[in-house]
Amino acid sequence: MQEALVTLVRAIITFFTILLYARLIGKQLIRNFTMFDYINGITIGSIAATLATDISSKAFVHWIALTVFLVLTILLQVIGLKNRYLSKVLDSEPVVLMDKGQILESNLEKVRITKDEFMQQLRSKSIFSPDEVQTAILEPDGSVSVLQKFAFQPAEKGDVKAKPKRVMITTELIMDGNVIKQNLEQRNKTEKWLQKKLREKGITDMKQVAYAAILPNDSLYVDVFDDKGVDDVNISDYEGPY
Amino acid sequence: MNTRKILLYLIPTAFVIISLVIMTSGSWLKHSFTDSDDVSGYLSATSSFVVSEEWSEAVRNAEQLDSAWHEVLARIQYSVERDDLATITETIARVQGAIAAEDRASAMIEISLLERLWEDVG
Repeated sequence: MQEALVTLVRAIITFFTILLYARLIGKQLIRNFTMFDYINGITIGSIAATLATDISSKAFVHWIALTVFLVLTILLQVIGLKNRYLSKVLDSEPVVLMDKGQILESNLEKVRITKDEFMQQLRSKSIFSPDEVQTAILEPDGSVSVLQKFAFQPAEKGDVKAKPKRVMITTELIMDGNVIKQNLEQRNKTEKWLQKKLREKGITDMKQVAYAAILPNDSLYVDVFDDKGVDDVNISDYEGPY
Repeated sequence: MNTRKILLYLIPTAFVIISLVIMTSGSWLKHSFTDSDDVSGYLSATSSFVVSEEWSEAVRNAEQLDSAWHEVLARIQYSVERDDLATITETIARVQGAIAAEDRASAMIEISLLERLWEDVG
Protein backbone atom coordinates (compact mmCIF):
# COMPACT_ATOMS: atom_id res chain seq x y z
CA MET A 1 0.00 0.00 0.00
CA GLN A 2 1.33 3.45 -0.89
CA GLU A 3 -0.29 5.38 1.94
CA ALA A 4 1.12 8.75 0.87
CA LEU A 5 -0.23 8.24 -2.65
CA VAL A 6 -3.64 7.15 -1.35
CA THR A 7 -3.79 10.21 0.92
CA LEU A 8 -2.75 12.42 -2.01
CA VAL A 9 -5.60 11.12 -4.19
CA ARG A 10 -8.11 11.36 -1.34
CA ALA A 11 -6.96 14.88 -0.45
CA ILE A 12 -7.42 15.97 -4.09
CA ILE A 13 -10.93 14.50 -4.12
CA THR A 14 -11.73 16.21 -0.79
CA PHE A 15 -10.28 19.57 -1.83
CA PHE A 16 -12.29 19.85 -5.02
CA THR A 17 -15.41 18.35 -3.42
CA ILE A 18 -15.31 21.02 -0.69
CA LEU A 19 -14.69 23.73 -3.31
CA LEU A 20 -17.61 22.52 -5.39
CA TYR A 21 -19.91 22.10 -2.39
CA ALA A 22 -19.01 25.53 -0.96
CA ARG A 23 -19.97 27.06 -4.32
CA LEU A 24 -23.23 25.11 -4.28
CA ILE A 25 -24.08 26.17 -0.72
CA GLY A 26 -23.44 29.74 -1.82
CA LYS A 27 -22.57 32.89 0.04
CA GLN A 28 -25.28 32.44 2.65
CA LEU A 29 -22.98 30.41 4.85
CA ILE A 30 -20.59 33.34 5.16
CA ARG A 31 -23.10 36.18 5.17
CA ASN A 32 -25.58 34.86 7.73
CA PHE A 33 -23.41 32.80 9.96
CA THR A 34 -26.04 31.52 12.37
CA MET A 35 -25.22 29.06 15.14
CA PHE A 36 -26.51 26.26 12.90
CA ASP A 37 -24.30 27.41 10.01
CA TYR A 38 -21.35 27.54 12.37
CA ILE A 39 -21.86 24.00 13.64
CA ASN A 40 -22.70 22.77 10.15
CA GLY A 41 -19.46 24.31 8.83
CA ILE A 42 -17.39 22.68 11.55
CA THR A 43 -19.02 19.31 10.93
CA ILE A 44 -18.49 19.53 7.16
CA GLY A 45 -14.85 20.44 7.79
CA SER A 46 -14.44 17.53 10.16
CA ILE A 47 -15.96 15.03 7.71
CA ALA A 48 -13.78 16.44 4.92
CA ALA A 49 -10.64 16.05 7.05
CA THR A 50 -11.56 12.42 7.77
CA LEU A 51 -12.27 11.83 4.07
CA ALA A 52 -8.80 13.10 3.19
CA THR A 53 -6.73 11.43 5.87
CA ASP A 54 -8.49 8.47 7.51
CA ILE A 55 -7.39 5.78 5.11
CA SER A 56 -8.38 3.04 7.55
CA SER A 57 -11.92 3.47 6.26
CA LYS A 58 -13.40 3.80 2.79
CA ALA A 59 -13.36 7.27 1.24
CA PHE A 60 -16.79 6.67 -0.19
CA VAL A 61 -18.63 6.52 3.15
CA HIS A 62 -17.21 9.90 4.21
CA TRP A 63 -18.00 11.33 0.79
CA ILE A 64 -21.60 10.16 1.20
CA ALA A 65 -21.77 11.88 4.62
CA LEU A 66 -20.36 15.08 3.10
CA THR A 67 -22.90 14.92 0.28
CA VAL A 68 -25.78 14.33 2.71
CA PHE A 69 -24.74 17.45 4.65
CA LEU A 70 -24.64 19.43 1.41
CA VAL A 71 -28.05 18.18 0.31
CA LEU A 72 -29.63 18.90 3.72
CA THR A 73 -28.05 22.37 3.85
CA ILE A 74 -29.38 23.26 0.41
CA LEU A 75 -32.76 21.73 1.31
CA LEU A 76 -33.03 23.92 4.41
CA GLN A 77 -31.98 26.97 2.38
CA VAL A 78 -34.76 26.25 -0.13
CA ILE A 79 -37.29 25.63 2.68
CA GLY A 80 -36.24 28.95 4.22
CA LEU A 81 -36.86 30.71 0.92
CA LYS A 82 -40.26 29.11 0.35
CA ASN A 83 -41.67 29.12 3.88
CA ARG A 84 -41.22 32.10 6.18
CA TYR A 85 -42.51 30.25 9.25
CA LEU A 86 -40.08 27.34 8.84
CA SER A 87 -37.30 29.79 8.06
CA LYS A 88 -37.90 31.40 11.45
CA VAL A 89 -38.04 28.01 13.15
CA LEU A 90 -34.72 27.03 11.55
CA ASP A 91 -32.84 30.30 11.88
CA SER A 92 -34.54 31.75 15.01
CA GLU A 93 -35.81 35.30 15.23
CA PRO A 94 -34.23 38.65 16.08
CA VAL A 95 -34.51 39.55 19.77
CA VAL A 96 -34.84 43.12 21.08
CA LEU A 97 -32.16 43.76 23.71
CA MET A 98 -32.79 47.48 24.26
CA ASP A 99 -35.89 49.50 23.58
CA LYS A 100 -36.54 53.23 24.18
CA GLY A 101 -33.13 53.41 25.82
CA GLN A 102 -33.99 50.66 28.36
CA ILE A 103 -32.00 47.44 28.61
CA LEU A 104 -34.40 44.50 28.52
CA GLU A 105 -32.84 42.19 31.10
CA SER A 106 -35.35 39.38 30.55
CA ASN A 107 -34.45 39.21 26.84
CA LEU A 108 -30.73 39.34 27.62
CA GLU A 109 -31.27 36.39 29.93
CA LYS A 110 -33.33 34.58 27.32
CA VAL A 111 -30.46 34.76 24.79
CA ARG A 112 -27.86 34.18 27.53
CA ILE A 113 -25.85 37.33 26.86
CA THR A 114 -24.30 39.17 29.80
CA LYS A 115 -24.46 42.96 30.06
CA ASP A 116 -20.67 43.04 29.63
CA GLU A 117 -20.92 41.15 26.35
CA PHE A 118 -23.74 43.43 25.23
CA MET A 119 -21.67 46.55 26.05
CA GLN A 120 -18.78 45.01 24.12
CA GLN A 121 -21.05 44.56 21.10
CA LEU A 122 -22.11 48.22 21.36
CA ARG A 123 -18.48 49.37 21.60
CA SER A 124 -17.62 47.38 18.50
CA LYS A 125 -20.19 49.61 16.77
CA SER A 126 -18.45 52.73 18.12
CA ILE A 127 -21.16 53.28 20.72
CA PHE A 128 -19.52 53.84 24.08
CA SER A 129 -22.57 54.88 26.06
CA PRO A 130 -25.85 52.93 26.34
CA ASP A 131 -27.51 56.35 26.65
CA GLU A 132 -27.02 56.78 22.88
CA VAL A 133 -29.11 53.70 22.06
CA GLN A 134 -32.77 53.88 21.08
CA THR A 135 -33.16 50.23 20.06
CA ALA A 136 -30.72 47.31 19.92
CA ILE A 137 -31.61 44.02 18.31
CA LEU A 138 -29.75 40.71 18.44
CA GLU A 139 -29.84 39.23 14.94
CA PRO A 140 -30.01 35.45 14.28
CA ASP A 141 -26.37 35.53 13.08
CA GLY A 142 -25.27 36.79 16.52
CA SER A 143 -24.58 40.40 15.51
CA VAL A 144 -26.28 43.34 17.23
CA SER A 145 -28.05 45.97 15.12
CA VAL A 146 -28.34 49.34 16.80
CA LEU A 147 -30.62 52.29 16.13
CA GLN A 148 -29.16 55.36 17.85
CA LYS A 149 -31.28 58.06 19.46
CA PHE A 150 -32.03 60.94 17.11
CA ALA A 151 -29.62 63.31 18.87
CA PHE A 152 -26.71 60.92 18.32
CA GLN A 153 -27.40 60.01 14.71
CA PRO A 154 -24.85 61.44 12.26
CA ALA A 155 -26.04 64.19 9.92
CA GLU A 156 -26.63 62.95 6.40
CA LYS A 157 -26.18 64.75 3.09
CA GLY A 158 -29.96 65.07 2.82
CA ASP A 159 -30.03 67.02 6.11
CA VAL A 160 -27.78 69.74 4.67
CA LYS A 161 -29.57 69.58 1.31
CA ALA A 162 -26.40 68.70 -0.60
CA LYS A 163 -26.84 68.34 -4.37
CA PRO A 164 -27.11 64.67 -5.32
CA LYS A 165 -24.22 63.35 -7.37
CA ARG A 166 -24.18 60.28 -9.57
CA VAL A 167 -22.46 57.53 -7.61
CA MET A 168 -19.86 55.54 -9.56
CA ILE A 169 -17.43 52.81 -8.68
CA THR A 170 -13.72 52.57 -9.36
CA THR A 171 -13.06 50.77 -12.64
CA GLU A 172 -9.64 49.24 -13.31
CA LEU A 173 -8.26 50.03 -16.76
CA ILE A 174 -4.67 48.78 -16.63
CA MET A 175 -3.26 45.94 -14.54
CA ASP A 176 0.48 45.23 -14.74
CA GLY A 177 0.80 46.98 -18.09
CA ASN A 178 -2.18 45.20 -19.67
CA VAL A 179 -5.24 47.17 -20.73
CA ILE A 180 -8.58 45.72 -19.61
CA LYS A 181 -10.58 46.47 -22.75
CA GLN A 182 -13.87 45.21 -21.30
CA ASN A 183 -13.70 47.83 -18.51
CA LEU A 184 -12.77 50.57 -20.96
CA GLU A 185 -15.88 49.78 -22.98
CA GLN A 186 -18.02 49.67 -19.86
CA ARG A 187 -17.01 53.23 -19.01
CA ASN A 188 -17.50 54.33 -22.64
CA LYS A 189 -13.80 55.14 -23.10
CA THR A 190 -11.36 54.26 -25.85
CA GLU A 191 -7.71 53.29 -25.82
CA LYS A 192 -6.99 56.58 -27.56
CA TRP A 193 -8.55 58.45 -24.66
CA LEU A 194 -6.49 56.40 -22.21
CA GLN A 195 -3.25 57.03 -24.13
CA LYS A 196 -4.00 60.75 -24.21
CA LYS A 197 -4.63 60.84 -20.46
CA LEU A 198 -1.40 58.92 -19.81
CA ARG A 199 0.60 61.29 -22.05
CA GLU A 200 -0.76 64.17 -19.99
CA LYS A 201 0.84 62.48 -16.98
CA GLY A 202 4.12 62.02 -18.87
CA ILE A 203 3.66 58.29 -19.54
CA THR A 204 4.39 57.22 -23.10
CA ASP A 205 4.18 53.44 -22.80
CA MET A 206 1.34 51.54 -21.13
CA LYS A 207 3.83 48.88 -20.05
CA GLN A 208 5.17 51.42 -17.53
CA VAL A 209 1.81 51.40 -15.75
CA ALA A 210 1.28 48.98 -12.86
CA TYR A 211 -2.26 50.07 -12.11
CA ALA A 212 -4.65 52.57 -13.63
CA ALA A 213 -8.31 53.12 -12.84
CA ILE A 214 -11.14 55.57 -13.34
CA LEU A 215 -12.12 56.81 -9.88
CA PRO A 216 -15.70 57.53 -8.73
CA ASN A 217 -15.09 61.24 -9.44
CA ASP A 218 -14.28 60.31 -13.09
CA SER A 219 -10.61 61.21 -12.76
CA LEU A 220 -7.83 58.81 -13.77
CA TYR A 221 -5.57 57.31 -11.09
CA VAL A 222 -2.25 56.00 -12.38
CA ASP A 223 0.50 54.11 -10.59
CA VAL A 224 3.70 53.29 -12.46
CA PHE A 225 6.11 50.44 -11.72
CA ASP A 226 8.95 52.90 -11.05
CA ASP A 227 8.48 53.98 -7.43
CA LYS A 228 11.39 56.44 -7.38
CA GLY A 229 11.31 59.17 -4.78
CA VAL A 230 9.36 57.02 -2.32
CA ASP A 231 11.14 55.58 0.70
CA ASP A 232 10.38 52.11 1.97
CA VAL A 233 7.72 52.45 4.62
CA ASN A 234 8.35 50.33 7.67
CA ILE A 235 5.93 50.75 10.52
CA SER A 236 7.35 47.90 12.56
CA ASP A 237 8.76 48.79 15.97
CA TYR A 238 10.61 45.51 16.20
CA GLU A 239 14.00 44.90 14.70
CA GLY A 240 13.51 41.23 14.16
CA PRO A 241 14.33 38.51 13.33
CA TYR A 242 10.83 37.08 13.12
CA MET B 1 -25.17 27.75 -24.25
CA ASN B 2 -21.63 28.94 -24.90
CA THR B 3 -18.50 26.84 -24.39
CA ARG B 4 -17.61 28.52 -21.10
CA LYS B 5 -20.99 27.72 -19.60
CA ILE B 6 -20.82 24.13 -20.83
CA LEU B 7 -17.36 23.75 -19.24
CA LEU B 8 -18.67 25.32 -16.03
CA TYR B 9 -21.09 22.44 -15.61
CA LEU B 10 -19.09 19.78 -17.43
CA ILE B 11 -15.89 20.02 -15.36
CA PRO B 12 -17.56 19.74 -11.90
CA THR B 13 -19.83 16.96 -13.17
CA ALA B 14 -16.85 15.09 -14.63
CA PHE B 15 -14.97 15.63 -11.37
CA VAL B 16 -17.84 14.17 -9.30
CA ILE B 17 -18.12 11.19 -11.65
CA ILE B 18 -14.35 10.54 -11.60
CA SER B 19 -14.33 10.86 -7.78
CA LEU B 20 -17.22 8.40 -7.50
CA VAL B 21 -15.48 5.97 -9.85
CA ILE B 22 -12.23 6.18 -7.85
CA MET B 23 -14.03 5.73 -4.53
CA THR B 24 -16.15 2.79 -5.64
CA SER B 25 -13.83 1.10 -8.13
CA GLY B 26 -12.58 -1.63 -5.77
CA SER B 27 -15.33 -4.13 -6.59
CA TRP B 28 -14.52 -4.23 -10.31
CA LEU B 29 -10.82 -3.32 -10.26
CA LYS B 30 -10.12 -6.41 -8.14
CA HIS B 31 -10.94 -8.66 -11.08
CA SER B 32 -8.06 -9.73 -13.28
CA PHE B 33 -7.09 -7.93 -16.47
CA THR B 34 -4.10 -10.15 -17.32
CA ASP B 35 -2.90 -13.64 -16.34
CA SER B 36 -0.45 -12.24 -13.81
CA ASP B 37 -3.11 -10.56 -11.63
CA ASP B 38 -5.64 -13.39 -11.47
CA VAL B 39 -5.94 -13.61 -7.67
CA SER B 40 -9.11 -15.68 -7.83
CA GLY B 41 -7.54 -18.18 -10.27
CA TYR B 42 -4.31 -18.61 -8.26
CA LEU B 43 -6.34 -18.94 -5.06
CA SER B 44 -8.46 -21.81 -6.37
CA ALA B 45 -5.38 -23.47 -7.97
CA THR B 46 -3.49 -23.21 -4.66
CA SER B 47 -6.50 -24.68 -2.89
CA SER B 48 -6.65 -27.65 -5.30
CA PHE B 49 -2.90 -28.37 -4.91
CA VAL B 50 -3.20 -28.23 -1.13
CA VAL B 51 -6.15 -30.65 -1.21
CA SER B 52 -4.15 -33.08 -3.36
CA GLU B 53 -1.02 -32.34 -1.26
CA GLU B 54 1.10 -31.40 -4.29
CA TRP B 55 3.21 -29.08 -2.15
CA SER B 56 5.74 -27.86 -4.74
CA GLU B 57 2.91 -26.77 -7.07
CA ALA B 58 1.07 -25.26 -4.09
CA VAL B 59 4.20 -23.24 -3.16
CA ARG B 60 4.57 -21.95 -6.74
CA ASN B 61 0.88 -20.97 -6.96
CA ALA B 62 0.91 -19.32 -3.53
CA GLU B 63 3.87 -17.17 -4.69
CA GLN B 64 1.99 -16.22 -7.85
CA LEU B 65 -1.05 -15.52 -5.70
CA ASP B 66 1.03 -13.16 -3.58
CA SER B 67 2.42 -11.27 -6.58
CA ALA B 68 -1.04 -11.14 -8.24
CA TRP B 69 -2.47 -9.71 -5.01
CA HIS B 70 0.18 -6.97 -4.92
CA GLU B 71 -0.73 -6.02 -8.49
CA VAL B 72 -4.40 -5.79 -7.57
CA LEU B 73 -3.56 -3.99 -4.32
CA ALA B 74 -1.97 -1.11 -6.24
CA ARG B 75 -5.24 -0.63 -8.14
CA ILE B 76 -7.79 -0.97 -5.36
CA GLN B 77 -5.97 0.82 -2.53
CA TYR B 78 -7.83 4.10 -3.25
CA SER B 79 -11.26 2.66 -2.63
CA VAL B 80 -10.82 -0.17 -0.13
CA GLU B 81 -10.34 0.01 3.63
CA ARG B 82 -6.71 -0.23 4.62
CA ASP B 83 -7.47 -2.84 7.30
CA ASP B 84 -9.08 -5.14 4.73
CA LEU B 85 -6.03 -4.86 2.47
CA ALA B 86 -3.68 -5.55 5.37
CA THR B 87 -5.74 -8.58 6.47
CA ILE B 88 -5.58 -10.12 2.98
CA THR B 89 -1.81 -9.53 2.74
CA GLU B 90 -1.40 -11.12 6.16
CA THR B 91 -3.61 -14.11 5.32
CA ILE B 92 -1.67 -14.80 2.10
CA ALA B 93 1.50 -14.90 4.19
CA ARG B 94 -0.19 -17.38 6.56
CA VAL B 95 -1.22 -19.55 3.57
CA GLN B 96 2.38 -19.51 2.31
CA GLY B 97 3.62 -20.46 5.77
CA ALA B 98 1.16 -23.35 6.14
CA ILE B 99 2.08 -24.64 2.66
CA ALA B 100 5.81 -24.40 3.42
CA ALA B 101 5.15 -26.45 6.57
CA GLU B 102 3.06 -28.84 4.47
CA ASP B 103 0.28 -28.41 7.01
CA ARG B 104 -2.83 -29.26 5.04
CA ALA B 105 -5.37 -28.39 7.77
CA SER B 106 -3.92 -24.94 8.52
CA ALA B 107 -3.50 -24.16 4.84
CA MET B 108 -7.15 -25.01 4.16
CA ILE B 109 -8.35 -22.85 7.07
CA GLU B 110 -6.36 -19.87 5.83
CA ILE B 111 -7.39 -20.43 2.19
CA SER B 112 -11.02 -20.59 3.24
CA LEU B 113 -10.62 -17.30 5.15
CA LEU B 114 -8.83 -15.77 2.18
CA GLU B 115 -11.64 -16.77 -0.17
CA ARG B 116 -14.15 -15.01 2.09
CA LEU B 117 -11.96 -11.90 2.39
CA TRP B 118 -11.46 -11.79 -1.37
CA GLU B 119 -15.20 -12.07 -1.92
CA ASP B 120 -15.92 -9.18 0.46
CA VAL B 121 -13.17 -6.79 -0.59
CA GLY B 122 -14.11 -3.85 -2.80
